[in-house]
Amino acid sequence: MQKEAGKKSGQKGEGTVSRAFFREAVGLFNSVSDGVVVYERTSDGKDFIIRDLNRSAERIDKIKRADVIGRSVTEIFPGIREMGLLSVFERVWITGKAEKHPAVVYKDERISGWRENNVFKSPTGEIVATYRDLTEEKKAEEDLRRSEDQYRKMFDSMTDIVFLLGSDLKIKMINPAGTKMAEKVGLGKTMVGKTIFEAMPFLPKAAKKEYEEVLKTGKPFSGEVKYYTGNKMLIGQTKRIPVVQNGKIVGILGMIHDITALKEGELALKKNIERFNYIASLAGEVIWESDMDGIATYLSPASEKILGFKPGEIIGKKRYADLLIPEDRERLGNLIKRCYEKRDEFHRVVVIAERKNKERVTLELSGTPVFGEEGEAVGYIGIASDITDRQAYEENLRKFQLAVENASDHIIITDRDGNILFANKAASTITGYPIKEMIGKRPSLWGKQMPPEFYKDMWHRIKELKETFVGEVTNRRKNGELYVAEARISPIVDASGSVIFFIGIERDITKAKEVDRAKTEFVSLASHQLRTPLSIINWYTEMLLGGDKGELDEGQREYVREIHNSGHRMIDLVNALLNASRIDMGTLAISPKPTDFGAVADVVISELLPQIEKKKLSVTKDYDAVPKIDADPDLVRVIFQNLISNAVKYTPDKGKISVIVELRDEEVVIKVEDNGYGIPEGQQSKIFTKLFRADNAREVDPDGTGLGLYIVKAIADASGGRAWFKSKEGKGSTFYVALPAIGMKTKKGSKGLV
Amino acid sequence: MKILIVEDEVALSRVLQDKFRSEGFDASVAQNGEVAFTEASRIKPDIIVLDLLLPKKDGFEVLGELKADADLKMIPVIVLSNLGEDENIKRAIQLGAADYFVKTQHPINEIIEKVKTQAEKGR
Repeated sequence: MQKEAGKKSGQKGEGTVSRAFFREAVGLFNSVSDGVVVYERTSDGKDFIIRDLNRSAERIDKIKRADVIGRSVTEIFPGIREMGLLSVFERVWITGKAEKHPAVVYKDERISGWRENNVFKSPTGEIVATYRDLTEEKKAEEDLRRSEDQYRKMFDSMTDIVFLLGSDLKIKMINPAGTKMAEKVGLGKTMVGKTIFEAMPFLPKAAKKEYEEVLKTGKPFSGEVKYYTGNKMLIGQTKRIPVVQNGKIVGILGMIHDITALKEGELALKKNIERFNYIASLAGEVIWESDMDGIATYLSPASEKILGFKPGEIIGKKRYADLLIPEDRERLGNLIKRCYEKRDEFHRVVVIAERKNKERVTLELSGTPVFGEEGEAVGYIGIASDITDRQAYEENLRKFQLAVENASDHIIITDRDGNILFANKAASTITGYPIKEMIGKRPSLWGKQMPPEFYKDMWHRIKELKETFVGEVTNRRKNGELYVAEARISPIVDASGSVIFFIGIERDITKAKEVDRAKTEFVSLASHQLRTPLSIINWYTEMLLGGDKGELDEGQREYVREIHNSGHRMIDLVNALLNASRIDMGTLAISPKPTDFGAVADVVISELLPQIEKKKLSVTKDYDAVPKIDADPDLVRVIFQNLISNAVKYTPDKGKISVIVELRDEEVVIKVEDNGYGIPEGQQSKIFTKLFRADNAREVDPDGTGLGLYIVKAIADASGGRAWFKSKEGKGSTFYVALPAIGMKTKKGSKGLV
Repeated sequence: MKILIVEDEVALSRVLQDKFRSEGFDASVAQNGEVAFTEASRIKPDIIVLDLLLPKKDGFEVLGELKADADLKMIPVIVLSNLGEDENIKRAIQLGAADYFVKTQHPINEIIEKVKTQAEKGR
């Protein structure tokens, strides 16, 4: 305005306004904010002399009127030629036409700044320059330009998509991120000029409404958009802000922030949480979390199993310490408090907690502090395992170990090569070697007394066949004394079936064997000695009954017969005892020869005929088809004798007995069946045991020896066969003895059966 | 017919002597192993019944001596013992015993019968 005013006044002054007018208008001259300087051209035309200037000029150029009047412009403003203003002065002076010299920087040693000049020639021939100091404006402009540039750079470099839409929803502008995304999703490069829906065809139809809504209401919109690139889904957080100009909505500024990675992270986190929860629900251990006050903030579902409390009954409601028994509350409380204070981890702290049902449970706790974003401890997380069973197990293991260490049997554990890893006290006592001397050595230290084949067979069995070896071994103590041990060596195999250890248990049976032998020998000797008086009773009563010393009357005869029968029972008992002792001593000899089983059975039946007839038993026989078998006839006789006499004894009057011999596969089977008293079920398992007699058998015959079936079974076993039975109390029994059809195994021994 | 009964148990030798006498035998008794051989040499019995477990000299020795003697070896010897083991039976038979009986396993009449049969065979 002032500039215009200056121009106007200048134009007005042209030809019509006198110089005096300017002088009179000095107030106005001095009051304008533009600088005004009046120059007079020097006679040579090369310079301009300052004739007048206003106050604004003094202020702008930092000069004093008195100092510059009459001096040349090049002297006061040495940079004027360089800024191009001097040539403007010259031109205006020549042409008389006013010129505008656009804003340029004036610079000399004294001052510098932006100046915009209007130069005209006054009617009196002076050059008048009016000018403004644009430095501040230019600086502001520069700042603006710079910040605009920054915004543009930002806009260009933003990873978020930014676009500007017109009111027709056509893209006016889109930043490179937008273009890039468009390329990424397979859209064309040129997006400007297209509507947002043309440019982004993946936008849902509903989006159009959303955009129109923004235009209509002026309310910003924010939400999520999903778009697909190939098979990958991208997720964007979008914001649409109305652009308002002069109170009118003229467009929308849109922004899309790609949150795919975030979403993926969120999803991954969610998955991790799910996984964690899954694992936590399966784990036998409780996963726990507490704040720094020890209050439960998380507890995995296992708490219900271990503590009887559901997580919900504890989380936020209880301090973990409250779950412990009072004695432990303090101990653990202090320990964990110290850890909490130091932010230390703690490991395997064993405590006793009380379950909801007041049962005690032993827990093993470990925990580690959890730190917040600023590195401050916010709580603890850890695991609690129920070790009640493990403790009991360890306790048992300790007991077991003590038992093994203190067992009276010699127990050693070796590695697979037989090197001793463990030996108990008895092993040391029995062998005479201190445990220290045994460790690392092999059992040959005290062994090696048996023939090499014995050990070869033993190793083969335990190492290759992985079977338990049981046998009698002669060993040698450190002092040279020999002893007999009953050895039991078992391989311990791992899951893959390979041997990792051997456990050897030996019992020193030297004494037991001596005692046993003495006992058996005593029985043998006593039995032989008993035979003499038995023969005397037998023969004398026989002679009395035979009338050798005169006829007896009926009463005498009856008495003598009782004596005679008792003598016979004793003879039977002595015979059975002798047989059992031979079996026990292992001296039973087996001498097989072709034997007609039927003939043997017939002899036995005929011997028992008096009793059979007395009880009116019916006996069926079926053994004609069996050929002669290699067997010890004495043993076969003992088998038949025992089985048939038992059937006769334990079958009531008029009962039925059948004696069958048949070939079954590769065995000869002797089968003696009766419909007698049978064996009570509860006693069946003991029927082959030496000296055992079933209760009902005792009632029927109080004088039985309990040796018969023991002998039968022992004969069957010793000759490679087997013995078994079926029985039902009150219905009868069937006894079976199966012997190998190829014949009995020959066994060298000193004694046969009587 | 003459029979020598070698038996240390008086009750047994007596019942056997009685029984054989009643059967018509001329029955003598030797009470130990030492006497047995001298008695056999003196009497020259038709048959000898020999126990095995005897004082001074056991039945196997006596049997051995009898069978080693040219005059006596033809006399049949029947062993009558309490021992019933195979090894004893085999040993006695090997030494030349004509038969072997376990005392408790046979009625006295059966023994008399067997001895009679054997004695008649030896004649």
